[in-house]
Amino acid sequence: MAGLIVKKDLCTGCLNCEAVCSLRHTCMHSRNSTAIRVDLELFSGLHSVTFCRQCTHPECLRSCPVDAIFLDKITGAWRINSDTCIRCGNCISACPFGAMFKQGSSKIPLKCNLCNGEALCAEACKFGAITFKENQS
Amino acid sequence: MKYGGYAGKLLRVNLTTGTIHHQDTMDYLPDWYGGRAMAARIAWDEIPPGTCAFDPDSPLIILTGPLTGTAAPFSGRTTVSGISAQGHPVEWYSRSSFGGHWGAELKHAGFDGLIVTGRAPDPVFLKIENRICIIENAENLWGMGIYESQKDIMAQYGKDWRVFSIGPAGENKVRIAIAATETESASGQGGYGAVMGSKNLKAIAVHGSLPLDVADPQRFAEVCRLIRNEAHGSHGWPHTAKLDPEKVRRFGQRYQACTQGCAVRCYDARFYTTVPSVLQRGKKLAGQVDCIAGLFPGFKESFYDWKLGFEAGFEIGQIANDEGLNHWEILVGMIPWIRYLKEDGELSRIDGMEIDLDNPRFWEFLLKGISRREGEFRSALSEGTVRASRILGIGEERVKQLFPAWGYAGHWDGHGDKINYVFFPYWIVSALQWAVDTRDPISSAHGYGQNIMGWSKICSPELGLDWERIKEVSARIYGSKTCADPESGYSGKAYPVWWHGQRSVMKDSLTVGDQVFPRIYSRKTDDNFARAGDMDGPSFERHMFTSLTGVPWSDQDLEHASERVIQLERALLVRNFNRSRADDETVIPYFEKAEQQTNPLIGRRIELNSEKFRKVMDEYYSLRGWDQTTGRPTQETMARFGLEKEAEESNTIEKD
Repeated sequence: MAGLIVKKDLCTGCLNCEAVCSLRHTCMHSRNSTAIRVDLELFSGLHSVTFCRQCTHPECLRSCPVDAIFLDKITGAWRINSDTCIRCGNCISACPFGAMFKQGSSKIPLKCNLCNGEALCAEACKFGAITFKENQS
Repeated sequence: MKYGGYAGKLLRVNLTTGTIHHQDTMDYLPDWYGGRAMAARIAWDEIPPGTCAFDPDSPLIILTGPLTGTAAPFSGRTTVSGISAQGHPVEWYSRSSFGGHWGAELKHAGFDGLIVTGRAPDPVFLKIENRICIIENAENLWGMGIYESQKDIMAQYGKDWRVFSIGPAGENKVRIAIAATETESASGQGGYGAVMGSKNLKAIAVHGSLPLDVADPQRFAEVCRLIRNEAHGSHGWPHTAKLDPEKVRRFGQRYQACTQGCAVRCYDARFYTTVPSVLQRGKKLAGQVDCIAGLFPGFKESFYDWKLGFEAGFEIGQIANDEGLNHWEILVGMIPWIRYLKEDGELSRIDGMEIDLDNPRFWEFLLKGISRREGEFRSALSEGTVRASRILGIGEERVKQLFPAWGYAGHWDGHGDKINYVFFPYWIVSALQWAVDTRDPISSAHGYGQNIMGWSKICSPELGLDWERIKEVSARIYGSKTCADPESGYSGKAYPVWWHGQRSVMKDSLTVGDQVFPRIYSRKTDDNFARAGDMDGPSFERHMFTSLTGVPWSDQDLEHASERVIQLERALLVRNFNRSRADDETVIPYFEKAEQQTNPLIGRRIELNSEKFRKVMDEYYSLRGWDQTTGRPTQETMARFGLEKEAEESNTIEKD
C-alpha cells in the first residue's frame, strides 16, 4: 500500500504541507480545503498532524452506502467517485482519524488522494515529518 | 479582487471614536504592493510633520504582503510601521516586522492589514474574524505578560486563534517594548509595543477561514516548489544545521519554524519543550529561542562571557519576551553598557541591587523593573539605553561605542556588535546602510556581510567558497568582482548598499524572510550561483509575486517599485524631520574606532577613514539620485518614480 508516513515529533509548524495541499486541491489557499491539517501547539511546540492513513480496511469504505470510495490501483490511494457520492457525510463521521473533511453540503468530502502519486506535502516538508511510501503493487 | 494573493481589504480602526471601516487594498495596488511599500504610502498621506509616537493620531500600520500565508516559502511575515518610540534623536517614521503565523491568519480573516489610530479610553483588544472586527474590553488582560494574554484569548475563543500582544513594557510605554506572537516572534525593534500601549491596545486576535486566490496556480505551485528545494540554510550558512543531542535529551530541543513557510534547517531557530526553571523551582518551561536570544546564557571566551548557563539564560530570554522587551537592545546594547560601567568603576549597583551578570536574579530584577518602570535607574532604562545615559548623566562615551545611530545597538557592523564576525572592508557597507536608515538596517539586510563572511573559508572551512568564487558569484549581482573582494577597501561599496536597499524593501513588502532572500550563493549549482528551474536566485521573489498576483511585472518593475519606496520614505523624512546628509554622517565617529575583528589578508585592525567614506556616500547618493550636499532626493529622481507632487510637498526641489 502507498501512503504518508508522519512523524509528528519532527513537525516544525511551518504549514508548508497545508499550503501545497490546498493549492493542489482548490487552486487557491483555503484553510477549509486541505486534506492534511496541522494542529499547532504554540506553547508546547508539540504539534499534531491529521492525515489519511490510506487504511488497508478503511472505515470510510465500510460506511459508504453507495460504494463511492474506491482504490486507485496505480497510486494506492483510496479515492471518492464524485459521480457516485451522495454527500451523506457518513465517511467523515466514520474515519477514526478525523482525516476526511466536510467542504460544504454541495461538495464531496475532502480526502487525501496522494496527489495522484506525487504527495506534494511530503515533498514540501523539509524536516522529515512527512514522507511518502510509494505504491509497491 | 483583481490580483491574487491579497485578502482585498484593509481594516481601519479609530480607538478614540470606536469606529471601524474597511478600505479596498486595491487603492494602493500594484505600485505600493504590500507591507513596507504600502506602509510608506499610507505614512506619507497620513502622518503630518510634528506627529510623535504616542500621539493618539499617530497611526500604527500593520501590514502583510501578497505572499504572506501562501505556499511561498518563508513568507509568514508581517510588517509594523509608524512613528517609532525607540527612534533617536527624534521619534521618527520607521518600521519593524515579525514572523510566526499571525499574518497568515489575518489574511484568512479577510484583511491584508490594519491601520490603528486613536486612543481607547480603557484597555481594549481587537477581535478579528472573517471580515468582522470587534473592539473588546481588555481590562482583565492588562498587566498580563505576552504569553498569558495570548493563552487567555485562545482559551476564550479557541487555540487556532493567533494573537499579537504587548506585555507590561508596552503598557508602560517603554521605548524598547516589543509586540509579539507565540513565544519568540516579535516586532522587536522600534518600540512599537509602546505605541500599542499608548493606544490602550493590548492585543490583536485574529482567526479566519476565507480563501486567497492565486492568479496562476500551476506556475505558482511550481515556482514555490523549486525555490523550496533550492533554499538551504540562512545567509552564509552552507551547512545543514543539526540539533545538539545533549540538548535534545535534556531540554527537548527541536526544530521550529520561526515563520510560516520555513523550509530550511537554519542555525538558530530552536524550540525547547522542557527546560527546568531556575527561578521557580520545580517548574518546567517551554519556548522558542531564535537569533540573538541564544546569547542569554553567555558565551565562554567572548565579550559576552557571563555565566548564566543554558537553563537560566533560556528563562531570562523567556522573561524578556513575556514582559515584552527588545532582546537585541538588552543583549547587544544595554547589558554590555552596564558591564562597561561596572568595569569603569562608575556603577556597582542598580537601584540597590549589586550588578552580577552571572546571577539570574539580577537579570530578572533588571528586566522586570524596566518593563514596570520601577526604580530611578531602571525607569531611565525604560527610555532605552541611549536616552537613559543622558537622563542619568552616566556612560555617554560607552554608548557611543555600542550604539551606531538612531538609538539602536550595533548589528553586523564590526564595532559595537561583537557577536557577529565581519571585518574590513565588508562593514563599510554596513556603515553606509546604517547611515541612510532610521533604525538598525541589518534586520532586512543580512544578504551582504553575513552572506560573504559565512560563505568564506574562514567561517566555513569545509563547505565555504574561496575568495575568487565569492567574487565571481557576487559579480553577477553587483556587476563587479570588487564589491565582495576582501582586499577592495572602499571601492565598490556603494552599489551593494543601493542594491540591497531595494531588496530589503522587497522582502518586507512581499513578505519573505530576510535570512534566506535574496538567494545569491548556493551549494546546489556547479557555479555556486543560486538558481532553480528557469529562475536565477535574485529573481525568485519576482516569480513568486507575478505568478501569485497576476501583476505583470518584470524583475526591473519590481526593483523600480521597491526603490520608489525608498525615495518616498526619504522624502517623508525630509518633509517631517528635515533629514539631511549631516544626519547621515552622524554614524561616522562610531566607525572611526578600530574594528573588532581582523581581516587576515590585511593583518591589522582597520578604522573608518571618514574622507574615503564620504566619497562612498557621494557615490551612493549618486546611485540613489540624491543631492550630494543635502542628501535629499532630487526633483528629477522623484519624477523618475512618478513622485512629482510629493517632491514639491517635501521641498525636495533643488534651488538654484
